[in-house]
Amino acid sequence: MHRARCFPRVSRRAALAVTAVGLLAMLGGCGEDLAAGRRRVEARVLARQIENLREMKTALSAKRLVSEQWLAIVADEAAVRSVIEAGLPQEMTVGRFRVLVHRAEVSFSSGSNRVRLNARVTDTRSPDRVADVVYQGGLDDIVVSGGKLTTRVLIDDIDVPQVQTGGDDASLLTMAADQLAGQNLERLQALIPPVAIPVKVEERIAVPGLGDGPVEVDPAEVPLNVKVARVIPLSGRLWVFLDVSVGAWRKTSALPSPSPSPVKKP
Amino acid sequence: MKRAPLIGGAVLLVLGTLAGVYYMLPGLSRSRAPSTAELARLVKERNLLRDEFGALLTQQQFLDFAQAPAGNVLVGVPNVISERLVSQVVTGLLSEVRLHLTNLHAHAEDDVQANVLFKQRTVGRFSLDVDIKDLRAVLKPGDPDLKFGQDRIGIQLPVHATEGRARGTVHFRWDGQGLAGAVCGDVDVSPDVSSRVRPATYMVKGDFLLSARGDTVVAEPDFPPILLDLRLDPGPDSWKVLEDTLGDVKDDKNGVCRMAIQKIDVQGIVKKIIDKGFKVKLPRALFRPIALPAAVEQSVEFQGKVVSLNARPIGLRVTPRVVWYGVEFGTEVQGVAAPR
Repeated sequence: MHRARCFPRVSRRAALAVTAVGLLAMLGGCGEDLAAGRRRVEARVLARQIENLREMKTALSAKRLVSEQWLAIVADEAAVRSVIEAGLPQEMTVGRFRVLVHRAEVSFSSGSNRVRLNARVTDTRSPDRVADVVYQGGLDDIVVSGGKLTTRVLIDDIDVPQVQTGGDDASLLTMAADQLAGQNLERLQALIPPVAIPVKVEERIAVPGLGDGPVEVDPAEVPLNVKVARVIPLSGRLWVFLDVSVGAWRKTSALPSPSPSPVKKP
Repeated sequence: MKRAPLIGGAVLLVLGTLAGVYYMLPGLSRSRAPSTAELARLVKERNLLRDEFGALLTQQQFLDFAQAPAGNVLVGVPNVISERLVSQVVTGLLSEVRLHLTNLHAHAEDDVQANVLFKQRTVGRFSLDVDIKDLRAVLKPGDPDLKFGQDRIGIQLPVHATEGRARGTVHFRWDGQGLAGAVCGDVDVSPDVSSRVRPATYMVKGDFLLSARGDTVVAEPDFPPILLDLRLDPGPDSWKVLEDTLGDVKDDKNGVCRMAIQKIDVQGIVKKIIDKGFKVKLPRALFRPIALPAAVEQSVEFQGKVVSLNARPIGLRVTPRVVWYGVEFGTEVQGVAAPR
């Protein structure tokens, strides 16, 4: 039995023409040129800086930018870069691509923080196809937890400044790397270790007791309530201001340490 | 066979068109890329705001921004926090001090002379021991007065010794000599007595010196010895017990003996020796160094591995409002890898 044809018979030339138009349309839609991408990222950063500067200026004019009672933690760009890089390199495989994040750049300026993570993307099927990718983002909110000041890098865009191929079409790999990053930002996000600012913040001051002598004191502690009050990236430094409230003296159950005998006869 | 490229091309055409529409329609996709001129305008606006903000910072001498030392990681502890901490720790400590003294001893002895047969003679010798078996008191601090100067926090506060009680014995011994001894013999009585500790106020005054210790700043106590002078204040009941005991002794003896013992003002002697007080020196260990609540760490931990930051402490900088300390990092952080 003869099967009915659903489509009319067309020539090979017509088919190729339609395919070519489709490909062009695809590339035109997805393959936004890199310069435009960079301008968009730059504009976003500038807008963020302008907004932060306006807010800080208003707060400063009203003398409420920073309280004199806040404890200041200051980390410069090199310090934050070092702690991020201490957790690098990090590597993961996404489909056929191997992503190796190996270097960080950090900038704190005008109320805005920027983190650039340099990564190398390699096509595992053709290892000589390599693209250098830059993930761009910033630090998330800083929190105090367990006495540590931690945050994480939030990636919000990528840049593909350089592609090396074994003579193949570079734009294809560029687009692939771009798409890879775009579709897997969350997975790549997890690749970046949390950022711990190397400062330990105490949440209590422990006071050992005294015992076994004529002067007895129960062990106690002064609790401290620490919370991040404001973060200001400025002039190459990240200023983290902590609101530290000193709580009331309270006894603890630790064993007292012995004390020397202080008694004198009259 | 010839139909497949056509279908594929059509699919690509549709997808491409959709992608183009997606990218071109504002609100549906990433925002439109700004022009170079728009970027330049944003940069200009940012720079203007930054300059204005910088000028405001300078004008207001904003905190210690300008005085913060160089260093990769710094901690700035405002004097307000240091003072609050020191105050809380010192007053807390002094509100918890319980004095518990045992086996305190005070002693007096003397010859007693009397006119016997027209001549002053030694009729005996008394020995009086006040043995405090147990003395308890608590300290209560008053309001502290703090002064911050350079690298030291001066603190001065009154401390009240209250709620004190003592119990013990007054051991009276009489060793009669000559005629009195022959008649009276010896006397040895030890009535139990109790007393309250006389409330008193002591001024505690000292300093906490701020110094960098390792990765943090420590307020080191610098206090002269704190000497408490506890005085007992026996109440009427105690005096009565003493008086009754001695009265019994006197009543048991003959006239000469009674005369000899009556010459001894036991109550007066007890008062005199306990009025010297019992000195209690608060141990230096009572005040411990107080670490300020933030320390710069010289290593970080990643995935269970400790990575040294090769950090070097930069010491202490004390400004009128903030104590700064921190670290500088060395050349290269261990653990940083080059791209492979």
